[in-house]
Amino acid sequence: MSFTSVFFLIVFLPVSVLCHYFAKEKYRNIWLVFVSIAFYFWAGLSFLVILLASALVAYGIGLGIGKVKKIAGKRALLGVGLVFHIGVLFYFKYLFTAITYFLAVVKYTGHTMTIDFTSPLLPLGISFYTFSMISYIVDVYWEKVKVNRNFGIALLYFSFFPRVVQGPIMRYSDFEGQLQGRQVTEEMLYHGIERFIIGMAKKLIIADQLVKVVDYAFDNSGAIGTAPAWIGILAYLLQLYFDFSGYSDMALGLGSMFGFKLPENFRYPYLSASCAEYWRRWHISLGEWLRDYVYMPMSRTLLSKKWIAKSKNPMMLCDICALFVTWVVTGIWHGSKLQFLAHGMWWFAFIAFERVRDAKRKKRRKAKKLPVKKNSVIQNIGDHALTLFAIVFGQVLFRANGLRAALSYWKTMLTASQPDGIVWLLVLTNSALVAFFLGIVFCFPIYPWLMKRKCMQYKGVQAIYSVLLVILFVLAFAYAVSAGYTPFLYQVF
Amino acid sequence: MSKANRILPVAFFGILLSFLVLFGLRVQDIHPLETVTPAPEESAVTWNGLWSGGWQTDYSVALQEDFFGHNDLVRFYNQYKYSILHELPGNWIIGEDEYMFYGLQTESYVCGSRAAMGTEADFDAYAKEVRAFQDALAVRGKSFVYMLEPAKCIVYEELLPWNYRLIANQYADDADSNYAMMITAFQNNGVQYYDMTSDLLALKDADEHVVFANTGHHFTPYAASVGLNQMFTELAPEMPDLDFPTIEINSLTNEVFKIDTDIKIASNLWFTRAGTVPETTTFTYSHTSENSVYLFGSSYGAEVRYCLYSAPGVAAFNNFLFQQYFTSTTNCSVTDGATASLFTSSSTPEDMHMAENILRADLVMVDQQPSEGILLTHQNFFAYMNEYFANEYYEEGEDLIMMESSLPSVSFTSFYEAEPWGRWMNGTESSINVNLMPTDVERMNRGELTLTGRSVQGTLVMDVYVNNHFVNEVSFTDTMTTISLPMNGEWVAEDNTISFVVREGACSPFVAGLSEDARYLGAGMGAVVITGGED
Repeated sequence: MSFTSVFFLIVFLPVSVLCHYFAKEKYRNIWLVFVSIAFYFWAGLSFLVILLASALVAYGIGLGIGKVKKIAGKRALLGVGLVFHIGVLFYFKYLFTAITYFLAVVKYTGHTMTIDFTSPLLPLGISFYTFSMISYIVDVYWEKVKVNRNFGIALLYFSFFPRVVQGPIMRYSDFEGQLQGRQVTEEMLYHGIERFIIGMAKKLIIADQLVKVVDYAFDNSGAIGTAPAWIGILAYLLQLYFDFSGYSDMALGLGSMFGFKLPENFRYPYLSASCAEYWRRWHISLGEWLRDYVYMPMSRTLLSKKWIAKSKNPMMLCDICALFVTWVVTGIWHGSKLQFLAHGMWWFAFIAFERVRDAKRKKRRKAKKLPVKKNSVIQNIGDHALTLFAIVFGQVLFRANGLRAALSYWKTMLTASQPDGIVWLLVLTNSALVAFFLGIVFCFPIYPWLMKRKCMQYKGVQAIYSVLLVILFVLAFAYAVSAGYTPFLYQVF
Repeated sequence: MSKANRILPVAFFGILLSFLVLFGLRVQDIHPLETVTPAPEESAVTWNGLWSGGWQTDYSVALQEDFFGHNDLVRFYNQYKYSILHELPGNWIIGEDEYMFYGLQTESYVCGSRAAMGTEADFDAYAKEVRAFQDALAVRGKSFVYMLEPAKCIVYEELLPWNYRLIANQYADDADSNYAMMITAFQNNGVQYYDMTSDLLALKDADEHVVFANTGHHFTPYAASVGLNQMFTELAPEMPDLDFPTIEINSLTNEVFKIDTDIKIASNLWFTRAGTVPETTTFTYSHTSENSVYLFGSSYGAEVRYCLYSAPGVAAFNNFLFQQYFTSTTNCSVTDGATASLFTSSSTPEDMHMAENILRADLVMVDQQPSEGILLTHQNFFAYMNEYFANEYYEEGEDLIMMESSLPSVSFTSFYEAEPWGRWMNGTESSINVNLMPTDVERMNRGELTLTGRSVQGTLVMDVYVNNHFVNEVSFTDTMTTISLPMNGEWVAEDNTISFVVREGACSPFVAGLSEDARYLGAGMGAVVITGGED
């Protein structure tokens, strides 16, 4: 069930939010479990069964870890839990590709083999809820959270519908703390609705209007010229950002309507001054999850290794190695194709470079007794340019129809040509041009700037703002009804 | 929380709850949308559907278009796009001065050779089919013309949106564009065609508003009349047997803002300058031609039809029959009045009596506006008619007995289905109808009728008639025998019946104790062939 579908908007949302709002506190969580199950059921009973089974396993593993006294036992249970959840994810998301590559290798060696296996349908949000389950059992193992003995609560955490499909990935500790005694104030309801409408508008009025421009560029990547290639990737940067951040806004808005404060997932990433900063502003919850559950444990493990300790710069080497593993995981998480692994390696290369560069800069400044953290103007411009370069060319890897297509696209971007002439101008409709304009403008923190204005304190201005939001909602709703179905981009993960 | 901030939640949930209540009460939308496919129905609840999520998806899809308020939301969206973004819904684009164009057709035109429907060879093959059709009509004493009508984007190129204009400036005149390739192919293959483009461009120079309505997809009847008048003037010397009227304007009204059948999408807005269908131009004629005209064509043909048949009893031709694609027939004649028979889109040419209608006409016209879909339809038309003509008449030397009974040139009465060796007569009297090309009649009268046949058992005696003229008596035994009968009279006509009357020897194999076949059989005809004599 998409957040922009008619069924969600006119049936599910008002019923779930208003029943929750007017219900007694003791029934609210039960109601939330029910609506979350109902939401996931809408994707298919088979998918719901998989979610419930995974939730049961995660809950059971948590209970087991809490009960077992010995570290070895806890570690074993953790291992079982990790193998199970990663195994389920692997089966649905990666097994088919793995078999394909395996058979290709077999063929390359001159042998023949057939394996009868068709790619199963990917359960909705499996990448997201699997990470939530893994983080729960790991946090229980690390004793960062208490074992949850209430399956209903665990199920609610794993399946909470605003975030089950595309995140944000939330820690159990953050979620649990908001379960009991939470209030849904009018303020939260207001801000939730505001956020939801803004998210709808981002998705429908900006992101979806750029689909044709992006599809034209990437589906014809072998035949387009330089100008449409650049316009295509710029459109994709806007489309992806506004689609995903729009969804996140809707999720956060829904969370707020239920009294939850879900973590922010985007913070104007295209303003980043470095690649590392970009990943602290883009899909923040994923970055933090990978930092806490892959990078940090990997760093701790590597630091204890002799070959690291013996190296010239053990901290740097440990950092780079941990980064490498983290970006391999990041790449694979996004998809099973080689291009996603390449996408992960792309970012690894840039972030590793920045680490080394920044370390050298720090060393140089220390030697010259200059302020450590102050870059020159030229350095700042260079850093921004490098970041934008990494973003623009990196996202080609992400969107292209394969690795070869991505390389071909890069070549088109970098060599002046126009095999398709100016025919690509046909995709630049007024809707697309307006979306481009709005997209570029709202890549900047316009909303926070606006909210800080003194005029926003006046009730008259607030009333006008509310009316404008209502109009925006009706417009976005009209878009949702009229423009056909365009799925959220990150839903495929 | 301030009252000002209460506006949002109240309005938000108020709107959603209103939709929910109206949906729950199954209140139907009052104002239907134009040219929209019906909303899909919800599917029945099944375990498999629930398990896979298919039922849930079907339900969501059905609800997506079937709730109270849906149509007004669509209208609001369309109005916003039209008024603010200057765009139209669907495959329509809007240019300068509110002129609306059909997007796909316009794209195809402006992109020139990049939108070519085929190669030079493809168009040449098509032109050959058209020429074959033209020749077949000529043999039958009929005239033919292929009318080329320009699309709106060709006439009003300067009013296209800025991006279409830029592209058109660069590519529209490509030598390898669809239009250029078709013209070249027609010229190379001697197809009789008439291109109205220059006439309509000249008309536009005189009065830019009358060629196409702003909000129309078709050219106006006035424009059609100008093009037709020019065409008739040019054709008259080449078709001296035909009598062409001159179309005159009786009353000319402003057709600038109308909604024609193809632009009804503009009705899905609240406010456009496309109004309701106004009064339209009416015509008179210098005289009513005695000729009958058949038109196979596109929706532009409706305007052609309109200006050739102004009202019951007021017509340019004695009879005018218009068949649009393979869907509808409009028959207009001076005495009968206009009658329209509408068929479903799966009509066959046989259902539409296409060949008979064409054969009744003196002049056959085909109209073509530049569009890939229409070209494909026309290819089917010419393929069908050429095959019909190829099979319309009997070809000398062909075995009538083994010909398919569905062909126009032959039919069987009282014969059983063909078997590998031939056909059995059903009883003692059977006949074969055969059509001959008029030019073959005389030769066949001097020719031969060759029969190959057998009896069930013993001797079978049979009289042979051609068009009720006794030709001869023949005898067959129980082995296949071939007998040639000279045709020395004036028996043969264009439409012929060869009759066989068994006088003795018909019987049932079962009764004769020969097999289980209980049918009462006359002669078993292995072959019936007509060959012509010397010229």
